[in-house]
Amino acid sequence: MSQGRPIPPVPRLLVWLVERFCHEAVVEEFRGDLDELHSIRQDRPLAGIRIWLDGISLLRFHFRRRRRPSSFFLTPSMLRNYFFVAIRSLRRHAAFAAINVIGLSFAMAVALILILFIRQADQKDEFHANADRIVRVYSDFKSSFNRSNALYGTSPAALADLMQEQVPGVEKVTHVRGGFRGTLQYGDTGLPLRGLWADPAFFEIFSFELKSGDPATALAEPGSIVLSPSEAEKFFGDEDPMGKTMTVVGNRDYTVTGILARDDYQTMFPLKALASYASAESDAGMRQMLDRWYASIYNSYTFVLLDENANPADVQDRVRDLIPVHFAEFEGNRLHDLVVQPLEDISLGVEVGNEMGSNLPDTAAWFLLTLAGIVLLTACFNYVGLTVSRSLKRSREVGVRKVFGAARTHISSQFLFETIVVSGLSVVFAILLLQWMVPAFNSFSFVSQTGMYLNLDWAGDPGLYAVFALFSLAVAFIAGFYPALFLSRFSPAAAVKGLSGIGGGSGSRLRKGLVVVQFSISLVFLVTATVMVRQARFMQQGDYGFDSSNVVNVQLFDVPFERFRDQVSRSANVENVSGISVIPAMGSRSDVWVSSPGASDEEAVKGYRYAIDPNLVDNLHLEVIAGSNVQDGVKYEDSRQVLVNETLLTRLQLGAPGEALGKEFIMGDSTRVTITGVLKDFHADDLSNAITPNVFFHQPEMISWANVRLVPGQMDAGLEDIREAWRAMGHPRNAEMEIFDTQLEQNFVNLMTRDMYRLIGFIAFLAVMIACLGLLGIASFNVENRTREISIRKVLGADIGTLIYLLSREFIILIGIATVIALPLAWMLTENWLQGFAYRINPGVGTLGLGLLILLVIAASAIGSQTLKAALANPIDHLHEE
Amino acid sequence: MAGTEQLGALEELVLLTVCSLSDDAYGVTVHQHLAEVSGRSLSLGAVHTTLYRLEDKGFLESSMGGSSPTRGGRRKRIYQATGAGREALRAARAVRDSLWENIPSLESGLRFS
Repeated sequence: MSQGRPIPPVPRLLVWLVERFCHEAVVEEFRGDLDELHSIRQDRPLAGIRIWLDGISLLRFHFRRRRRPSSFFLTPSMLRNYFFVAIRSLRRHAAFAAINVIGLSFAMAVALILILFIRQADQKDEFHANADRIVRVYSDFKSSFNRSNALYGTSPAALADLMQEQVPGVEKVTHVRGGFRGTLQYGDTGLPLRGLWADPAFFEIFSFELKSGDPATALAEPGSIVLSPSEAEKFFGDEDPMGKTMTVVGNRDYTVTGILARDDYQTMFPLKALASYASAESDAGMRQMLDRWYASIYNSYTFVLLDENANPADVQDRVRDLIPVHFAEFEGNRLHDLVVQPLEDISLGVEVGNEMGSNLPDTAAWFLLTLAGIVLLTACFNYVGLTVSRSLKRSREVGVRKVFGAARTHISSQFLFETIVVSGLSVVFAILLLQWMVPAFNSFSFVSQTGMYLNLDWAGDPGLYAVFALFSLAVAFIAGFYPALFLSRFSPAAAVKGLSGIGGGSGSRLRKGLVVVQFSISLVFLVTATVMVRQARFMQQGDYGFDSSNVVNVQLFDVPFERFRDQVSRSANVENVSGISVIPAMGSRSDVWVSSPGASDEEAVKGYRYAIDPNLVDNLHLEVIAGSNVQDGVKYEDSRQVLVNETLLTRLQLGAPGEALGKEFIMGDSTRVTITGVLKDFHADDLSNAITPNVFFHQPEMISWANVRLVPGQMDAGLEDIREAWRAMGHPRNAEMEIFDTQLEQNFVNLMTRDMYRLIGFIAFLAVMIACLGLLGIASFNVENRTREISIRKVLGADIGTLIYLLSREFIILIGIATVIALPLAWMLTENWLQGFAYRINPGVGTLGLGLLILLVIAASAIGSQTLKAALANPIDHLHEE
Repeated sequence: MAGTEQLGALEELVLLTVCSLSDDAYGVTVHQHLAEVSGRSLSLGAVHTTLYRLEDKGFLESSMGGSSPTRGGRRKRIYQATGAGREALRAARAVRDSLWENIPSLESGLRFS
């Protein structure tokens, strides 16, 4: 190639062809290549023809883009396409879509309630501006009444001041004290009220706001009280409460110095009323208690605002150092530890006693979360099972898409998107379901009794929407992951031909596995719920050993028992009246440790003590089996004479009832008492507990309840008479009474058991329903696929029974396997639960069988309808197609 | 994904050529080099198709650059082998080597019958 010679140009027609027919993205490099090649080859023979051959060979790049389209599929147009495809496919298979959406939305609603409940508990007290710097100090304490130490949310009253003075890193402290209660009276209105005592720092540390009043001074003076808006409304109506004086009956006057801005703070503090801490300190009796650390520890809370730079570990160490100096052991009261706990860890944290409000312990939260997870998984399994079992229908679609160039990621993201649409729809339905499920949930006694009402604040809580969106996506991924993977795996050739082992193979095995898992879960829930219902009924009908019929329990407050007895006895509808310090079997009790004289501490046994009047034995139809009842004129303080139950005799080895009379034993730390009578055992506690040693003694001033036995059939008139008697005494508050039978039915354990079986029962119902929906889907699909086979079998002479057996055999085997797995599991779980009850049922084959029977009936109706339809169909309808 | 792609015979030749041309591999040089070494004269279109396919498979990567007067100032698309490309060549070679080892003596007369 010589320098001077001009290069013959590439023919213009060829250039035109390349520019016209090659993709624009490649024109530049191709023209360059042609020029360069042509110049290299210009001296070789046939250069003119070669350049034509090469140029024409480039024209194949007409359709060829530079690159394959990006495999990034989340472009807006692709998403829109996925959305339309999803909607179309859901509409075409409306029945399956409906099964999926119904199943998912119920499960989602249940799971959402539990999740939102826990979220709400978790968010408690997070709104305070300084939430991350506020800590509480709780105690590890052994009291002289107790044999071992326990955790209390409270701490000695003196701790707050000591921390302020001696612990570096403490910015502010506040004294909060529980147990402000009594009847509050303004004008004619007297209402029971419970609240807290708190000092002015309370409003500085926490971000509660006042609607009226000055937060800096509202709690400064003795006799100041801050009310919640709803409480203020109850007492004052439209009047301005500020500066008005109210009376705590039997105590002192309070002036209203502030009204809180809101009723619905998400907080652990019971904020109905806040009395100034100075009022507590100005009371001589209270002052004495506050000054003794071991007496104040039960009801005083210490909240501390730390410095910005404080190191919580250092604060913890310094607080611990205070114990030996200021809280030395006193008469068996021993403070083991003071623990600094961040405010945010209180709710859903370690379970401690003496919480001021209701806290959801972390164990309960985990239990609820596990339930939510199981319910949700059942529904997701359902989706997986249904989608995979129907994959044959979609395989042709997948094949065609692949032939047109879809990559596996495209197919799987399309199916995932379909799941997202289903899950999104389900969440919408779930939210509708929540409208009636939330009130039902709030009526559970563990919610209503603790005041932890689930409250969905749609307007003020944007996080709620995030929860729903995240939840929906999470469910979509759990449910949609496997089907997407499974469906996108098909090879196009096999899929288009409709061949391949799609119907069988791993998909079928997985589907069967899922059916077994679903039915096992359903069966476990069913059996558990059945056992719980039976146990609850057993306890409700349980014989406590005393006669509670026609008895009304009246709370005496500060009224002497004798006075009320004399008043109410005048009514003709009243048959008998007795008094007791604590209503038996209601969950509240006064503990007492009893031991034989000379026995060591370890040998002491815990029991309950009851102050009674002599009439109790007669009134509740108890039976004195040895010795005598307590005597009217003989008081316990003077005589130290007690009535005991049989269990006390056996536990303390005091011999037969007759022999035990006149023997002595030790009550509490050192009080020596004499047995003058023995009562036949009765249940003084709910039926989950075994009978404990019980001690009864005559101490009228300790009596705080009157048991009024009415004439049978005169309940309504009798209740009115009791109210009348109460009014006649001129007491400022209304009479508070309960019908004993109702009280027993609603005692704590009964309520808890009822809550449990309602919750578990509902979940069982849901699990069974979802599993059967899934079964219905799979069965109908199965039948659909085998119509021709069935028709041929029928033509060849198979009878209907054989066909039904043929079609349902698979399911019968699966349910059989599920039974084998679930029944032992259910038995173990319920046995474990029942061990918490001293008086319990022993679920036999019947109870286990009942659950199984329910499941079988529902499952049979799900499969049966489809199977029967197929077996009864006229074969000609399905055979003449070809 | 690249690991699962197969390397065809022509693709292997082109990929090797790109590697041997190091920094100056583009349509024309690959075309010329292949013709020199193997005596095979491919069409320019075939070379480009193969280059593109190798790029799709992730064995090559490319960038535009380096114009020259003989190209009329137009840029070239310069190719470079990726890690996956080198790995694929190594794997192909390993297959060949192991096959070669199993032939006792090729020179002593392999018969095609």
